[in-house]
Amino acid sequence: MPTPHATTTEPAIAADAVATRSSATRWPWFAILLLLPIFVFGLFGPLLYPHDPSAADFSKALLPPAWLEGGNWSYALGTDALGRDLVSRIMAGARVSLLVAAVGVIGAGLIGVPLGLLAGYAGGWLDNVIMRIADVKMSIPAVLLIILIGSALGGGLQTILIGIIIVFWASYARVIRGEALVLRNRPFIALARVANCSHTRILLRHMLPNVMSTAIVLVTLQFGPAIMIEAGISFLGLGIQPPASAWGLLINDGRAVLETAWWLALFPGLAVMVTVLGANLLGDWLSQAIDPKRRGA
Amino acid sequence: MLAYALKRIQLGLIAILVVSVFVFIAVRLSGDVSLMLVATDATPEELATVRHELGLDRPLAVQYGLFAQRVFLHGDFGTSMRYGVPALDVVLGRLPATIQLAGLAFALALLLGIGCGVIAALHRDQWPDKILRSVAALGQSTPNFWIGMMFVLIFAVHLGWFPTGGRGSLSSLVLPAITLAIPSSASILRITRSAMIDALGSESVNFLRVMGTPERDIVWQHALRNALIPVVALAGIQLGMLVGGALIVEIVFSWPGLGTLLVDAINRRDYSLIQASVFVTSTFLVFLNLMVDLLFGVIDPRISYR
Repeated sequence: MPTPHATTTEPAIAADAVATRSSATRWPWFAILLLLPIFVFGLFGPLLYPHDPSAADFSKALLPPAWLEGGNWSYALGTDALGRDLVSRIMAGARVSLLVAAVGVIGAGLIGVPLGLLAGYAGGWLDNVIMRIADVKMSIPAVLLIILIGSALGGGLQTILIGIIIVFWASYARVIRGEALVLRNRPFIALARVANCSHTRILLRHMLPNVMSTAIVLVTLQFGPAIMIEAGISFLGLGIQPPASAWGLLINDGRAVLETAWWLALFPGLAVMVTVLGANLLGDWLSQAIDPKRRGA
Repeated sequence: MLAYALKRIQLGLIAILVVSVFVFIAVRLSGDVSLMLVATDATPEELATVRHELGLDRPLAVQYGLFAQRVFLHGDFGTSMRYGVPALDVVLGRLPATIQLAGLAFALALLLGIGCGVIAALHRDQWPDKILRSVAALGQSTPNFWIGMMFVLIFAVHLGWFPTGGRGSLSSLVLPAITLAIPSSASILRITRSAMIDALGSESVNFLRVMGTPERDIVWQHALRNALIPVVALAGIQLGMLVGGALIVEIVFSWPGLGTLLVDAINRRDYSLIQASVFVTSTFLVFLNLMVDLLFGVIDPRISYR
């Protein structure tokens, strides 16, 4: 990321960075490989579905995966109780997960980053109010908060999105505030003030560019947890509503027929696992690549 | 220490207040109660009368005051539509089952997480460390309600070792508690490992080595004690995550706690029950966090100077 102002790196850290470059700057191929499906299916899904993900066909209900007896390669991972193709439904679920996680996490950043900057830069009562609200947020479990939002707004996409934004903004605010506290005391900020820059200008032109790389690492780190929360909320029935497809919803569908049609719960769960693992690995890699001090955390 | 305790208690009270505001807003947004109480062909005047009786025509701040008075002084969240008794009573009746599950999972997570974290740190970058870290990464990336379902499929349906669900004998606790403990164990493992690696490389440990202290004592008595400070700091957050996670894991195992109650309440749109559950659970967690913070202040004397 471009950090135009005062990119002074202390020699000790620079040496450390050189020493770890070999491991930190190697491309995270494994993580990219794991994340490839969700991005391909999420972006181009409708072009790739083998069947219509919401078209019921009772003559094909509860087909097992293709490699089992009675399976059919046209429905590679089997079908659900309504005869809908599981592969297509998982692909359709990828679209929802990608949308919810990306919009939710970026939306949370759009609220959390400015609040964190403001709290760290302004200090005083403003800092106190913002951080106390963040503390309170942290003491309530995400699931509970989203259930409460759901009880007010009903289930659906809006509930999950608002929920994820409310759940994640505080993490941005905390971390960015910490960075802003350090930045505030750097000479270039004092110089900007001497040069008669307005507070708005200092915040936007001098502070913001310097916390952008951290904000991007946070987006990556929160992508996986956001997908998990979406899956959990859809599993509870407060998220994406049927007949639409979402991974949590598919797992919940599979629960009813777990003993006879285990594939319906197994494969959507694997999809969540692969995606979240990929996102978490990518986030770890990015935070190390950008800041060698965070290695091993 | 006293100032620290007072500050924490003050924060806890603010947290409970904010939760009550959230619940109040949710009550207001979940629909106009007066419309449910009057006949569909009621005149605007009749509607206005009902709204006046309910206090809905007064300023929001006054309405919140009345709501807070009912909630804090009388524990009154309204009557559960489903059960026909005060919502608070239903919630308090279900709370012990959730506490039992979350408590056992917490103990399990601490044991597994700290134990495996120390082992990983002692074998840094060797195969035990690599395996444990991979398992932890998987544990943090997999929805545990799904792992629970796979447990049911394997250990209950196919092997028949445990019941598939419900709350009965001790064996019915095993699968839900392990399932619930998985993500927390993984977090505790990771933090124990890195804290332990730091502690083992510290000056004080080097000094003990020079002095000829047995390595076993160094690891388990000296290094671990220092490494536990960040673990205890994490414990409050983990408790919150465990209780939140329990709400979902309970569904998988038909565990008769708050989670199954909540989902039932959601499906039946039993708003007073939902709000009572959320309020009671949050208050309980704020209280637990407060306890952890105070305990932390006792364990680590440096904290009071912050």
